[in-house]
Amino acid sequence: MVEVNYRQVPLAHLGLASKIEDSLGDAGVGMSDRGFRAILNLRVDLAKQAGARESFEKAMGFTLPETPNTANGKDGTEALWLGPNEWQVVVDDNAPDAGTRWLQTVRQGMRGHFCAVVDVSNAQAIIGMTGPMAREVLERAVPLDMHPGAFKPGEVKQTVFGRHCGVIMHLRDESPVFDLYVRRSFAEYVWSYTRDCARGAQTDTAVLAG
Amino acid sequence: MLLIPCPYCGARAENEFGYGGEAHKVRPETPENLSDGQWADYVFMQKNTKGTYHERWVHSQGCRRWFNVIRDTLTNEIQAVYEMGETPPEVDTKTYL
Ligand SMILES: [Zn+2]
Repeated sequence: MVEVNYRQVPLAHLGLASKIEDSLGDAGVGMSDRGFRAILNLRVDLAKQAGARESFEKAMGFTLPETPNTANGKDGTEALWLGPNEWQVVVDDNAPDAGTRWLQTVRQGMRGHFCAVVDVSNAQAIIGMTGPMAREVLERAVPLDMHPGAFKPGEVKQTVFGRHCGVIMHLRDESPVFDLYVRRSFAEYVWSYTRDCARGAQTDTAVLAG
Repeated sequence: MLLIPCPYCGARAENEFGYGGEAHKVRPETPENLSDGQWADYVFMQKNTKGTYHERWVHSQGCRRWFNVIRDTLTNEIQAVYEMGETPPEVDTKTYL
């Protein structure tokens, strides 16, 4: 747990709070700082750990997504598929001790199984993206096919953003609403790079509330 | 750029991947009994076939899993991908020399 006084969102220095608009307006892309969430990394081999699926479901109220590149969740709590035995569990809880508390919850629930649960809440920044041009703008930054037929709601894709930075992209709904998870030291890079991509796509960017 | 089919994530751009060299090299059981020459042969020497080649790749910017690829090194055609520890599937062996 990070001391409350020292806790700062990775994009704090951009002063985004004073730039927040009520709506997209003419802008093709809306970007937001999603602030803090509790983020856990879970490693468990469901094929070898009998009953681990059920234990997770009992603790969190939903099942881990086993289809590659998908997410599953319930009431502000979700699990993103990262690998055949790896998930990112995200809880929409921005309390300073949220990471520690949810870590305990999942650890207790998974007790008895050979697995690893780690609190990585403060390692990542979460950037939200929306707007009619969001897919086109993101396509300039990542090597993925961002067409609605290729990247569908509920999917999670990990890829390279810009020159090198790794990103986890979760498409929440078809409007579209994306959550981008990046290492916190790359937060400003991703933010500025996306704005540059928007300029390249000849559209404006609006800062929206988280 | 190559499109490489990760066995988990599907076809992705080459720059998400890292290359791991020849697959199915067997680590010597008793490296302490090898001469420097034999050890160097294991560590550094690869078949480097022109044609069908079994090699390892890692989806380092995606799911971060290692897997095997059978690739024609001349045409870059990917003939098969399979998970670590699996038996290589049968493919047409391409040779050019
Ligand atoms: Zn993959």
